Amino acid sequence: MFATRAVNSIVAQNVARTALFKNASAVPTGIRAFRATPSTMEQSPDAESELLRQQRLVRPKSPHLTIYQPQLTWLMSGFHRITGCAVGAGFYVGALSYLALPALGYNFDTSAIVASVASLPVVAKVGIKTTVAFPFVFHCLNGVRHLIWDTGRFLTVDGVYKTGYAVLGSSAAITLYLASL
Amino acid sequence: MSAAIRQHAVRGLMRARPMTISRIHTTAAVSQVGTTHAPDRVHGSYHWDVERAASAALVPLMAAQLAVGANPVTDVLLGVVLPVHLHIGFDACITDYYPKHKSPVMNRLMTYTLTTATAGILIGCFQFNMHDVGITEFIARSWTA
Repeated sequence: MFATRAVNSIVAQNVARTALFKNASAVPTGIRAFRATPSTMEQSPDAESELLRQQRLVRPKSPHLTIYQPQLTWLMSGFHRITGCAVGAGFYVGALSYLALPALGYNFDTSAIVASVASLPVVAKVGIKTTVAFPFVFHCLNGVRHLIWDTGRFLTVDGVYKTGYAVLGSSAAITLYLASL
Repeated sequence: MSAAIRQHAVRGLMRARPMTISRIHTTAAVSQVGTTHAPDRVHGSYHWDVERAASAALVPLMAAQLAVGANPVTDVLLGVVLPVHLHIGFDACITDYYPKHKSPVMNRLMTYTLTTATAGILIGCFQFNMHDVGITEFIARSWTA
């Protein structure tokens, strides 16, 4: 209400400039009508809580992945955790399978695994090696980056980005080398 | 107003349920506001030290793997340090996604599962290093198969 009055008074003081509006002669109608102060309703505490609860259900929630601008910092941090969990889960499954599968009747020692890997087509071998190597190499190099940060070095935006690109580049190079072995 | 927010936050902490269900206007006593757990180096700075020590130890271990190849010392050390590193890493994930104050049951369940699995892989690595070719030789052979 007060904002509308203020806008009206400003336009009244600057009639010449309100030629920008469609109906400059009629000041109130030349301004797109808006309710500056929407009407409020008194609510009971329970109703207020219920309204807030409903608002919370549709509010964007942490970690706000849909609205947070992609940045090298958090993308690499998330990828560090994802690769760590992926390679770790693989190691856990492999080591536990080594213990469990013989009890279930399957042969799971080195010679059996090497034989089954050797029987794969070359395309599959290179593909699997790339898929396994890249998360591992990235996690190792980014881990070194974390350890460097723990010494207090490169803890600036510039340092974080430079070391980040260095990790990305070197992990791509080392992955290509490992996949070629 | 801030007292009401504090009450509400405490409600969320006291009951391990999402805050959407709690009420806003309450008059209950807020006895848990401002409390914290007792400082504990084992779960605090010593944990941090062990985490960084294990991560740092993996660097020369992997270098030794690449340089020397299969070696019982490297393999046995790796079979201890790697499970420790993995356990600490997964434990950090559990702490982040299933904190004790928010989901006590899931936290306890996943921690027990993780501890059991880590014990399993420690045994598995030991058995593999003793009765099979060893971790380094296994990786070398299966990679160049």
